[in-house]
Amino acid sequence: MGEHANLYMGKDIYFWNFIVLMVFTLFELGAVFFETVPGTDIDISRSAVWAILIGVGIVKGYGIAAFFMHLRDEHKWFNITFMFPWIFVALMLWGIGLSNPEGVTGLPSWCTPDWSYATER
Amino acid sequence: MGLPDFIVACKAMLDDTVAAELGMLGISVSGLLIIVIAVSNWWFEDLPFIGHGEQIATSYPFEGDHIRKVGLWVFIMSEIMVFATFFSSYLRMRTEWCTKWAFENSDGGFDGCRSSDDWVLTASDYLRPGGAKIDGLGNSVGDFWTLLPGGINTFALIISSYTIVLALKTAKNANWEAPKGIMGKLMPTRKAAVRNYLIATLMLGSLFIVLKLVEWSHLVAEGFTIGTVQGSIFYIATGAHGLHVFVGLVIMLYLVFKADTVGYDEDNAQGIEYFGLYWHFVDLAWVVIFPAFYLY
Repeated sequence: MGEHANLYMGKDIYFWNFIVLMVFTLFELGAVFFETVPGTDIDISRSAVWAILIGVGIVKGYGIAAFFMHLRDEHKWFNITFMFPWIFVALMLWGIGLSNPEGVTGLPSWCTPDWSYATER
Repeated sequence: MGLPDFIVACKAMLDDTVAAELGMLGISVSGLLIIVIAVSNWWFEDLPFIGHGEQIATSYPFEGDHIRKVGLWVFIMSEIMVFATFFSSYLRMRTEWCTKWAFENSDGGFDGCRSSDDWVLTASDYLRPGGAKIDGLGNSVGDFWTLLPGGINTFALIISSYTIVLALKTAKNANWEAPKGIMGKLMPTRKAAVRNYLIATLMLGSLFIVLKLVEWSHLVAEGFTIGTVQGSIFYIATGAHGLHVFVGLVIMLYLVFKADTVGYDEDNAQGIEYFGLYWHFVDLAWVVIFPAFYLY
């Protein structure tokens, strides 16, 4: 966490990041709480909730890592240190998390491993 | 060595079919004592630190950076992988489960889930509106308020992330001036302001732990115990996160003590800064855990 001197509408970037995180959390809870879009008859499907949660999670994760943890203004090696384990995270999610029979057959081919043991065991 | 017994003892707390024996915790408590002594020693060394003698890395690629900061980032790197193992295990199982929610929405696509007998109930089934709790007539009787502790906890962590940022900003600001009004009375000096922001962070973290226990007790009372696969991954993953919050609270107690005695300023604010990195990481982990385990 370093110093951001720039002010936006009289407040620093930490304040606005805080506001964004709060608003997006409300949005996240609302997606689960409401079964239809408020004021309409449009159903919020499971797929829509799934997409909203992932989208909101990415925005919130970026806000915390980039601004609160100050990675945005750190030199590249701190960013590399932070990003490095995500290679293994991706491998774990892809190789372990999705390597089950339903995962292989029920998800798009581009995000599932084509390993025979996953379907033949 | 004491980990297996420790886990069994923890399981006994969450599942009444497992007998609890305090003797199981013997080796774990011994290990904990050694950790406490080591950490206490480190704190006694850190307490008089006023900004002189910070060790600086001398070799590429972190040349010129504080060694403590580099060490903390490497620690966070390992922590990311720890939580990734929980999450990948959960995902491995979750994609296989036909949950109540998936069944009711009929878009799960699971061949093995043709009737309600095939459901498995996850924590999110219990926690979501109209959740898994069934009355005598077979109707869902859960409501939004079962999700409330988790929702409040999410806001508490975000607010606490901001209060620790405010503590650091205040400590680093040599030209700090007391605010006007009631805030000025609460924070008449920079030293008091830093301490109070840290206390606010501590209280929010404590609220998180209390609500977590409230939520767990409700889930266990409704039959969602650690004895099932769904309960096991939920309690282990959220418990590991709760443990990180608890460790953060212990460290924060020290920070509050130092803020109240030695004080933090622009020369020695690194203590808050590096703890803040850890605390933000705990918040970051919750950003993943909360939607995955509570909402979806």
